[in-house]
Amino acid sequence: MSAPALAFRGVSFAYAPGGPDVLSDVSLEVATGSITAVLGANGSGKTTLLRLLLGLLAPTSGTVEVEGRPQHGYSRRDLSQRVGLVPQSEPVAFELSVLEFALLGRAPHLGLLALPGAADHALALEALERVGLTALKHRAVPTLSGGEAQLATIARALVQQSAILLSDEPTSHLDPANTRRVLEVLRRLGREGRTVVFTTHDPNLAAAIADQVVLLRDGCVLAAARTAEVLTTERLSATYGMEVEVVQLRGRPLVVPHS
Amino acid sequence: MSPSPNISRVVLPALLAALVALAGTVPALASPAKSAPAIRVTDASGRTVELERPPRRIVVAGRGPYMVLDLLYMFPGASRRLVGVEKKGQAASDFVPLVDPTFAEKAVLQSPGPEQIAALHPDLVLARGAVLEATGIALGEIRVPIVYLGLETPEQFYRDVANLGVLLGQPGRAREIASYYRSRVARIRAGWQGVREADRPRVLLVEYAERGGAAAVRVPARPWMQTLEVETAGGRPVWLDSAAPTSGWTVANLEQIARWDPDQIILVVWYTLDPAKVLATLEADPQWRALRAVRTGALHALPSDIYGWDTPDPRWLLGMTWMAKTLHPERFRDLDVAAEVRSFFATLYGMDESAITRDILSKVRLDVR
Amino acid sequence: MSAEARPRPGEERRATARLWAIASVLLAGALVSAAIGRYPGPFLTPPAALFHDELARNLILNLRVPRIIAALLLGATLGGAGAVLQMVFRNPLVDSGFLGVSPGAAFGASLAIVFLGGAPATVQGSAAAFALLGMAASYLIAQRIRFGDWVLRLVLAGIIVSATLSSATGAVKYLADPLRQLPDITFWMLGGLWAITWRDVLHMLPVVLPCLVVLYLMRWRLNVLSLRDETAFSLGVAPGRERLVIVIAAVAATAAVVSKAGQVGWVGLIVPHIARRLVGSDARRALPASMLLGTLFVLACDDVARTLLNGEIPLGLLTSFVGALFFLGLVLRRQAVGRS
Repeated sequence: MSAPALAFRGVSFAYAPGGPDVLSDVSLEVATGSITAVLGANGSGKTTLLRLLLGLLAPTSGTVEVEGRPQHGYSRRDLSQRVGLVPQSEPVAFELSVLEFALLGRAPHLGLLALPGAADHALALEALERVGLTALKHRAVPTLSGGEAQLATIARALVQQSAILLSDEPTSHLDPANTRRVLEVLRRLGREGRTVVFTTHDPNLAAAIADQVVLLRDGCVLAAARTAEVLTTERLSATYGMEVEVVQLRGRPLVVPHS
Repeated sequence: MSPSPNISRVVLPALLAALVALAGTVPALASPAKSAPAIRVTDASGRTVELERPPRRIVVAGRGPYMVLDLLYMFPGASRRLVGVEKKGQAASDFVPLVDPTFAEKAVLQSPGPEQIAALHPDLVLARGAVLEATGIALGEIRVPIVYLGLETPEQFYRDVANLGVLLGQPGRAREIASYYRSRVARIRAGWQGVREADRPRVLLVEYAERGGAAAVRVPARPWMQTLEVETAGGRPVWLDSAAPTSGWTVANLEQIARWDPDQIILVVWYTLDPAKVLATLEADPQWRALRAVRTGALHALPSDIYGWDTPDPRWLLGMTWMAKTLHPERFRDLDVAAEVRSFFATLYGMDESAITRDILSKVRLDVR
Repeated sequence: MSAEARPRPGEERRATARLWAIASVLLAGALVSAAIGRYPGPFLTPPAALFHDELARNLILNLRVPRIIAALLLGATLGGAGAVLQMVFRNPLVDSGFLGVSPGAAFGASLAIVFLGGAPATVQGSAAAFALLGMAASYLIAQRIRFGDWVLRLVLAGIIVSATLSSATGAVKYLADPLRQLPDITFWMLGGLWAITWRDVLHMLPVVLPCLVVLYLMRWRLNVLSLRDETAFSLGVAPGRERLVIVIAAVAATAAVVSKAGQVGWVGLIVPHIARRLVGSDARRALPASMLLGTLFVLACDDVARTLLNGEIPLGLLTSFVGALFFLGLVLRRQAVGRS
């Protein structure tokens, strides 16, 4: 069995030295090629966890492992060639086209002064094809709708050719139609063998596509297991501090808040 | 779709290299200097300037051009040599036409750069100042000689006069001018010789102007002609006691003036104002009446003709003369200021009696206390 | 939801072609500029004069050519620095004049001339140091302002710092010995190239050229640097460090030209906008286009400054006038198009 794509081993993190732990003693593993949802209420530490996975923050104690090796052993360039980020919203101040925007994903593979070449352009076009944005490749990014912008950001992460994709709240701000589009892309990426980790506060999103769910509350992992095992009434009520009910719909769990 | 053309990798660096090479080699293309000079002066900025022969096309530029013109026109034939004047500040068109009827035909420049000056094909540029400024440097690049005249102190003035004499090929005239000034300055100094330091009047000289409806009173800087005039005329400038933070005009308020408590106050009234009115206003003003000098009638307005007598213009001699008589009336009883004015314009500019009476003395108000 | 792609394919090729077109116009413009002026008469100097009129030859080779080169360097620097600062600060409303860079350079240069001896290296070093300080101050103050979005905060902070530095320059002039060789405050505030000689060009070149080359080489990276820190980090970039490098290059070049030419405003604000309209927002083309357009703009304004009237018009006056008009047109057009 190969090493997990990502792993936390007893990781704690506090923003201020000596301050309160935002994450305490978190241990979890993310298998290669799986889709993992990090589920928790707002303020539970999801974003911090993502930043630690990204390498933007360093743990106060414990280690983060990427592909079996400690994260701090990688150079920034090596790490960025393995781990890509799809942020929640990306305000772009200038009117780059969707193609130029996607092309930015080549940065980890190009030197400081290098320019993207024909091969890089081909990759960018291919990525746009994969997310279904080819028709919009010359449109300016600020003029895209929310869903299209999110797909463009995913395309950029694809161009990065990273095996691992981190996504922060991929559909929180999208309408149902766009949510489905994005979810389809993510699901397809998982099937192709990429490791996808996304944070969300919506358990139904996790239910829709995740193989594994990590339940987070106040910086502690309440559970980290397969979706069906984690998405139970008791666990979720404990996480959210309110009564919910889990029903089965077409073979997948559906979480309904108790009125 | 296509990446930046690879041609830019070659063409652009080539262009840059060409640019650098150009910058290095072009200066060598400009013409070299010519043979040995016949005329050489050291001007007020300390530079040595050389000409092959007396200039035939002079341009006056820079600050206060009318002062330079007033000196230039003391030399006969100046008009023939003058081709252009920069217009800046108080216009030269007020006085010089009285001496030169053809003055209106001279070219007028406004904030000229080196090209505009060069368009007049000058073989000499005269400017007032003590430092080689940007325009001077630029003129040097195109080999147009520029001579600076200091004018700021009597010593500089004598050097400037001598320089002009050498430049114009009229050293004799230069000596005449210098000795005219020296003799009169010597007479002034001799007049109050023997007066003890403590008996010399404490004098305050201020520029009085109205800016935006409010009166502004300023004292001159230490090395300026105004200060030197007061000292040479036998007064003690009171404003030198307090260290002026600037080397220009410094604003003085009434408190400060009261602290100085001068024996005599000389106002240099801004040329757009009427001296008689200003004096009347101040004498009626209770704040000014609080000053001893005002109460004892020792508040004066410095006379002027077309230009002031307190500036680096050659008229500084007249200012000094009047001050001597005002500060030491009993010692200069025989000194007739009006006669001095006549003599000044007749000797130095060759103006005749009636012209002086009509155009100069008519503007001089010696009796406004 | 997918509308038809607005610009047609091949837009990139067209944009690159435009870039070369601008460069050609520039070359032609530079050559023409050498032939226009006020000598021997208004406007045109016949090229034959180069051969038989010594004064004309000296004028063209020793005054006009260095002046033209200085205008090219000034324009390329202001345009390029403007584009860089706008992208790095993610703010389309800044240029070096509004961020404390140019006023800092003016202050540093005047300070060095009056109090530090005035050697060229000292002047340029002092200008660069205070230019960087001015920008750092703008950035730090902007972070501490409590209201408004980032764009507004940075502009406000920049205005505060610029005003402070400008009045400081005025104070240096006021307190300085008037017998010293300190250019007028109007020179510092409005700029001008009438005093440029070959020596000045040779002083500027060693700083300006390498910096412009650095900016040019980093032009694609600039796209990445205009993203948020988090994203840039995830793309393997060290955002703080790389932004610092490219900003220092932009500021150093700006300081070098400001110490010789005074503050010439609005170029860095307007030219990148126009460049982006012509060739797109991708910095691979927008940055070189900004440099070229900046050069064209300043060259044209300087030609007018020394040729139109019988005296010198301060360069900054012209660039501000034209720049403000352009800006007005830009802003009004935006509203008409109805973009959010």
